[in-house]
Amino acid sequence: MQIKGLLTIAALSASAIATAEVVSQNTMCRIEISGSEGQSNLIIAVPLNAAGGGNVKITDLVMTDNLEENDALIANVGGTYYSWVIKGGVWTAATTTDGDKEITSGDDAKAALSVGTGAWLVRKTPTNAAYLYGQVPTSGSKTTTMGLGTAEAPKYTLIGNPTTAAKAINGITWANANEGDQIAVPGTNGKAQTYIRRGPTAGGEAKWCKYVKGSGYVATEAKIAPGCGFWYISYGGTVAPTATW
Amino acid sequence: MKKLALMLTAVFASIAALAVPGYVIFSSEGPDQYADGTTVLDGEVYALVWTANETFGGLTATGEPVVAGDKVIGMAATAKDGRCTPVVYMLTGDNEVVGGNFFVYLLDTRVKTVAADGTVVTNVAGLNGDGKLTAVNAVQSIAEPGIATSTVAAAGTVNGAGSVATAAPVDAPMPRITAIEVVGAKVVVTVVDTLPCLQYGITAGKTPSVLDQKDLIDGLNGVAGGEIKLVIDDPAENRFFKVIRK
Repeated sequence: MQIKGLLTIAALSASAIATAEVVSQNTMCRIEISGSEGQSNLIIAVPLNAAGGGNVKITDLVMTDNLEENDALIANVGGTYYSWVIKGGVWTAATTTDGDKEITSGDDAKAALSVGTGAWLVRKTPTNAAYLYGQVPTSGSKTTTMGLGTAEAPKYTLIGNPTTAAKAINGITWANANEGDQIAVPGTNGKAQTYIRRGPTAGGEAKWCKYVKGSGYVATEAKIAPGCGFWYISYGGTVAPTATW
Repeated sequence: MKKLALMLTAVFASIAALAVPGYVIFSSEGPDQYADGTTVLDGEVYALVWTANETFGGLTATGEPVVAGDKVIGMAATAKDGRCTPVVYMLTGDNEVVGGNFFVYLLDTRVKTVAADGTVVTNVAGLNGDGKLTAVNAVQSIAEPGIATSTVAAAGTVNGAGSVATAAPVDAPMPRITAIEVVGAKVVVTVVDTLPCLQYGITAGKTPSVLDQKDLIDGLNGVAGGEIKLVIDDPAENRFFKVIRK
């Protein structure tokens, strides 16, 4: 029998197989709240979305890891304070009192906060770090708008770092920040570090400055850590100030 | 390097200018191994494929040829005691071929699911009752230099190519994380839009753009129309993570 056909066995080249990448549409993130270890009353930021997208419920954002019974979350939603406490290891809606009015926080919608919002985490014994979990927002830059106040009636706006990275205060794009406005960032000893908007003593355009004895006002190189919130205090101007991160 | 020997005998009843009726017999001496270095499990599938080209275009995760014109001559769940027991494939009917090249592969059809008690169970899916595959994670060449050939067929140069992941179906959806919760030192990630033929794992990294820790978990097969829960240890400094196909 004459056989002309050749039966060839050869190996598969790795490059011969096309493999389509299968990867989730969304990216999740864990953020250790800077300064959470050792501070009982901490301003936190909402830098993440809910898993699957949309505003995250603060009770999903703040993990109960390292927290204790009766530790609390407080959020100001539309001018009203809502609160949640840990009961049985999970966040449970609590009641806030406003004068003689009791406000319950049972509605999940009240717990959903947009990226850039600030809130409070109150802990009894903050011996370990606290964490945030959620989905990394897909949108690019985030602009936060602050309330507009006057010298007689300053306007306090609680905001937070809306990103997953530390941001230099003077690296953020500020618009309509009035000279004399202040920002108060939680410090390491339970005290806020205040920065004022003005030209440095050495001259130059307006920056966020810190007063240093002997040097006058010095542009700060401080950063807002991921997961951290702070106060913006408006003392004047005609247009609401904004921060683009 | 794994020690494999492939005995191949091809017998043809007519000259090659015509269709080539005949059959192919092959087996391996073993131990054959998966890409992770473990010995092939009993019931695992070997495949004989053919292509008119120099190289075979690969298989999808459901065992279909990636390239039009390539053929899967046959698949047999013949792994036993770490080797391929003798298999005979008839080259008739739809499997009649002229010229071209044959390749023999060990398929990795292990499916990982979660049992009622929460443990991960690994089973060889093998072949369904209809002779088709449920899931193929990777294909492993079992051909190596030194293959014995019959007097009627010549083996070409053979290189051990190792394992290659199968191609995901073209219409495979991108999985979506719908929930995340921390239970003790573990993070539980709920995932939807998965396929049973693919295994899913988690990759993590220090920044969203560099997710270079790709082996955080062993992976689980997807569920059609359902959800799976992937459990990882706390990712520590690798705080950004996504779900990927393993």
